[in-house]
Amino acid sequence: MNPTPNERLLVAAMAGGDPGIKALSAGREVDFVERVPHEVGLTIRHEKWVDGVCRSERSVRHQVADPALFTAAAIRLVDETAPTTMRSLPCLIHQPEAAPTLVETLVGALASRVVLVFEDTPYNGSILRLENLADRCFVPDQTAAHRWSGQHVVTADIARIDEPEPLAVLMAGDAAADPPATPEAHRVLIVSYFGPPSTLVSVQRLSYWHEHLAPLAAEQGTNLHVEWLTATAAGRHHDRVRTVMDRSDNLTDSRRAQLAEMHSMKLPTIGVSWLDAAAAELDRWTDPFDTVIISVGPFGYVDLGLAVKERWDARVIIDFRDPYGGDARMGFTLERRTWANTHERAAIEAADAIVSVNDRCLDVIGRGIDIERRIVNNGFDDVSIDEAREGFVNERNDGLIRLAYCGTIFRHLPLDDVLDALHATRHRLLHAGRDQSLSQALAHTVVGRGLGFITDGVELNRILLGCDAGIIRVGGEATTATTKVFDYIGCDLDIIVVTDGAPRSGALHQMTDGLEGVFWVRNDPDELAEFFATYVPTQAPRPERVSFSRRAQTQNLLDLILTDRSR
Amino acid sequence: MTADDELSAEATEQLLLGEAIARLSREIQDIRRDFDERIEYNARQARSLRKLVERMRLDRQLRRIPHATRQAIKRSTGKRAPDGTIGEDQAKPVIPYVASSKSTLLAVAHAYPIDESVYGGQPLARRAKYYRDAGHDFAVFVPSRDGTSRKTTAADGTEVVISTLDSLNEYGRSRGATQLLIHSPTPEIWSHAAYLAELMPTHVWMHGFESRSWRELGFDFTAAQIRDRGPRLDAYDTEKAKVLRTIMADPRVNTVFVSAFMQSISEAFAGTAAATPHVIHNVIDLEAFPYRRRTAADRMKVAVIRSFDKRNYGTDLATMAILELRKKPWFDELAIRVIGDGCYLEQDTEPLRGLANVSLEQGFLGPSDLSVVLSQSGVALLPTRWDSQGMMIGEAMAAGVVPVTNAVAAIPEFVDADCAMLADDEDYRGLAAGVAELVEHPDRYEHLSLAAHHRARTQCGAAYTVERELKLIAEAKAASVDG
Repeated sequence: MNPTPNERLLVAAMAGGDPGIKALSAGREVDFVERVPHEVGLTIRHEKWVDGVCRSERSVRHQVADPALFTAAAIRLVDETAPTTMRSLPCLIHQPEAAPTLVETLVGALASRVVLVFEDTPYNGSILRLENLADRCFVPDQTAAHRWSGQHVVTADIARIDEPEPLAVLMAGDAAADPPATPEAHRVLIVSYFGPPSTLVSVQRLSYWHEHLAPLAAEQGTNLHVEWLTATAAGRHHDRVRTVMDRSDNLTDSRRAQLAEMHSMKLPTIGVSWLDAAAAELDRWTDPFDTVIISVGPFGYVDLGLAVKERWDARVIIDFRDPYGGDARMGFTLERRTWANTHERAAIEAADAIVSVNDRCLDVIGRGIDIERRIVNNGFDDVSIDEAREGFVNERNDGLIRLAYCGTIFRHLPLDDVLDALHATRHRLLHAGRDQSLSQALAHTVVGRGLGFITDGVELNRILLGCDAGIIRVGGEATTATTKVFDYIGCDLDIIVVTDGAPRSGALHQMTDGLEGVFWVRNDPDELAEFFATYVPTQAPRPERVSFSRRAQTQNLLDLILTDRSR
Repeated sequence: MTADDELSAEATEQLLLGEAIARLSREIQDIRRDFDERIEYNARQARSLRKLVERMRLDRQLRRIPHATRQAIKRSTGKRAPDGTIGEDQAKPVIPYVASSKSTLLAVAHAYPIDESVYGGQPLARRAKYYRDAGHDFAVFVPSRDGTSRKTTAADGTEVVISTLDSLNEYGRSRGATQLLIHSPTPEIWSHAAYLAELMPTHVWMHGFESRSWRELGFDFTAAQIRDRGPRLDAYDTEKAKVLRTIMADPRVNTVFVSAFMQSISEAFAGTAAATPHVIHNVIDLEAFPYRRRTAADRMKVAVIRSFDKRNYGTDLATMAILELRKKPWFDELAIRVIGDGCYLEQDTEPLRGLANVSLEQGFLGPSDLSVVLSQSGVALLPTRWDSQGMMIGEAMAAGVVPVTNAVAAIPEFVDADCAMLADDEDYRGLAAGVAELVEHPDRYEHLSLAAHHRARTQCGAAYTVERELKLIAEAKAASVDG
């Protein structure tokens, strides 16, 4: 018997136990795989359920909890009852957090689509990959959902394994369609590991391009069609977004040597296993693309351009949101840096242009390679800010100076000295984001107020519009220029840069030099006290504001895309 | 072989198994390499520690002392210790405990006002005369903070011993104390007082800091302090909670909470309910803060009497409330006195400088000076972020001064809208509105003034507070006689 995908699915319980398999198998055929961990090794149990009845049961014991062994054993057990075509089974995984690396390989081999049902919400690299390849993630309750939103890159809904929603979502999956043919248009493909609906800042940048490049081009009389290829499975529900699953490091035969080398040097490998899957997906499409923008960070697929050139001879633009080998924050050893630089170089030599967020980054990327380089900043989301301004009334009349800090307060860049420098009768500091500082002082101080993690851009912008200044906290590295500076500019706030390094230096200074209302102060208690004792908001308009908008920056990218056509 | 949609199960399985074998081999090599590195590292550590131990040997340390110094030490100390200076013969004998024939109450507290100008320790001092009037002998032991010891007599006649805690046991025994009264027991105090508690009836008061987490008043710490001292304070919280559990779980110990709020906080912190709980407020001395009937004119005289050392006293809220009141047309008619001292004085009063009707007086008030100030005031602007009772609010009310404060922590247990003006947490605008209400409605002000006094008298007067403590003491005495 070879059941159709809609009638057959795989349910895996990664922490053991019965997830309500009898009910799950009502009206369908279910392969139930249960992982039972022991002190040494594990047992893999398989039950075949058909329409609420258990038809067979087998188990196998392994002394080694290896992902590939686990998957091979599971495949064999599943196949013994009914042959399985690889990558054809919808998979419902309960408690993937118990053994995420095993789940990666299992779904990589078997799954056509995946729904994950968590009981707990830890975060690590393996879970990051899993949540990205899942159609949907579920957590058990509101508390877990709140914890989830603080760290994970996709949103999670609330449901337990024995509730109907996870199964309903899984079985409602639709087949992916090929990109439509648009022969008259200049066809642009954006490629990135993370895509919508992920909440990452990088996705916001690319989402804007995906939405606004074509209308922007149309204003200039050019017909542009933009598609997006990503590993984020839930992205396929978005218009013009195609997805291809990252089927894990264990299932990529051609990249085995590269992965081994990267593992031995403790380099991040995310994206490497996805590269061949992405290239194979491109092979299936009939119509070529004229321009391919490969957006990296993660860097595992940075050399996808080679495959693109082989297939379409398209113009390849690599978007480095951060430097790769030259990133001072990565803390690479000499050996690792050399490998990363070589990897980066090979990718750039196959490309036609590179873009990044500032000059300092462009300087360290592909040093010495003669290639077109452009700055395309993140910019502030003008659409979101305009929406926030509608009907906004600044009701403050308390004489307090309101400071905003958006984003994560990092452990190595705390705001402790800033908080201590503020006056309770003159200042208030509003924080939207996560607090990873050791002191967590913001929760206690009378001058500060934590607003939590705000995902709604319009809501966040309304908060910013009610403030006088935005604070940026930097460590002094030359290449750092945070995205929040654009939000502050977009909302006409003063910018106060608190730095561990030299004031007025690096990429951030390059970007803001000459702007009104930008203040630099060292993260020193005395200097901060002196600054805030006398600081008065400038409320000065910036005529250059519009050039920092995402629209203006996207125009830079559009100019780069269309430049080639004119040659 | 590239990944293919049509990959068969067998091929996939072989691919996976091959990868598994390769990875396991790499892992074994990594583990082996890791072990080698660790062995080498441990060997280096061992060599280094061996050298360190060698250097710490006493004979080697002595050899490093200059020769001349060694000779001088030898000459001055001789080769043996003088007879009788060490050993069992010199051990101090345990003082036998003989209870005094008269009821002798020994209080252990963190402070006691030696002279009348000091406000610290007043909650205990207010009780002293009632205890003496009831026929008890009363003495106080205050743990010394600088290691010194002295015995003195306070201005109210109370014998006060300030000394290190290791002398508490000896003092209690030699004094012949018959009952032990511990105010705000800390782990340090209890480690010594527990011995006395075995000998006599014991009563323990929970006032605040000793029976809550430091994080409850986290706003009293700077960010730098939280960062640097947080872990140690958390560890001390654990110690505190452990000691409180021991105290509260003992049915022989009367655990007195100064408010129901304090009881809930303490029991939650300790993780246990008190076996013998009593809620008895601190006494408000109606004689020290005599009532004067207020007229409508008094409502324009506002006093802010606060410590500027801790944020829980809300001095920033007071300033912001005053600045909010500036928007009122009658603001200049107010006479506002701001009195206090502390590290936030400069910061919090700076916006008020230059206001002609606001006087800023730096310094702390003793009880008699406080009484004078209150007698001259009509409204007390006393913001708070946390209080287990609010003694100053109660003293102001006793005098007929209408308090304007925040309804947080234990405050609603002692005031309500019938005798005070209450604002929400952090609500400086609410505080300003409270003052405005009193100014703009003089009839209401006069009514609240009388009601405030009445509330203080009937809730915190001696009959409802210290008399109940005396009853506890009497019952404990009777029980110990019977036992």
